[in-house]
Amino acid sequence: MTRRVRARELVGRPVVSVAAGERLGEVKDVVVEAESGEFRGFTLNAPGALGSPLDRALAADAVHAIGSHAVMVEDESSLAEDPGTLRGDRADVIGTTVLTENGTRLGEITDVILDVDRDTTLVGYEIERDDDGGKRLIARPSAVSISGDTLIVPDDVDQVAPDELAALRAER
Amino acid sequence: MKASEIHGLPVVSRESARELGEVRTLLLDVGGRRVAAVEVDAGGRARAGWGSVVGVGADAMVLENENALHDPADDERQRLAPAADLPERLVLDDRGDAEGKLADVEIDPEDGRLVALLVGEDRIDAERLRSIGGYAVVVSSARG
Repeated sequence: MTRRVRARELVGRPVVSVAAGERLGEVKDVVVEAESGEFRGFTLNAPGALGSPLDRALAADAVHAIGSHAVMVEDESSLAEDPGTLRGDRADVIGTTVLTENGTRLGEITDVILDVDRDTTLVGYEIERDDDGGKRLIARPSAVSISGDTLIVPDDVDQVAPDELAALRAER
Repeated sequence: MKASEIHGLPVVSRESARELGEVRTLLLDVGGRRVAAVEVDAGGRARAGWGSVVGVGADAMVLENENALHDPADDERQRLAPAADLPERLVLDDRGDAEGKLADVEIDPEDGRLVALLVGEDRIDAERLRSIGGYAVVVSSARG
């Protein structure tokens, strides 16, 4: 069974330790490596001793599970102090130009779609079209290529209605 | 028996037949899935290990004798969870989905074993309990 979620919906979700039943913080950013499309992990706001929030990092391989209420980790040691360890481009993929192979700008990326069933993988992009301002979903295997600036798609790329996350094709 | 049925019961000494106080809360050993001790309102607060409980029924908890009650500071620093603080605590499974809010905890009064967590209309077998924390009670997912 696949479970799909918009990365932006995860912002603010509590991060909870399985071993202790404690809330360690909340999701601040979803980190995606733009060129490979790989999900790298989350940056978190964690409660600091003096009241102001601390930055923490949660690497993708330290995520135990992502559910409808919380992101679960084994215990406190799953978090890292330095968000720089995630080696991705925080939120840079949002706003990336979507270009067809024949050189027409289709729109821009507004979100990424993650499959969170066992491991967490990026399975698609939400785009906002220039022509009607509407949102569509594009499956990751449909993309030709992606860089930090541009996502290239076929002229006739399959575009899924924005609430049909489950309809995104997993394979090319 | 439900923890809520035990909280507030009079605590009586078998040796003297005297009432010592009333049950403030059961103290749960999460890893052992059992009641480790009972906190008693006895003038001050006092604690009795489950081993000194002779029996608990609808009308009272009976301890061996008054010496069973000791100052909580004498205990080892164990992480015991007070059952009386648990109603309304969020119950999360280890996949990150919410099961509901904890209503009550069921124990076996013979041996103090945790039997089940009561969440709304559902009974979650105590075998599934992973942790009890200030934010949530975590249980292993029913999906497995």
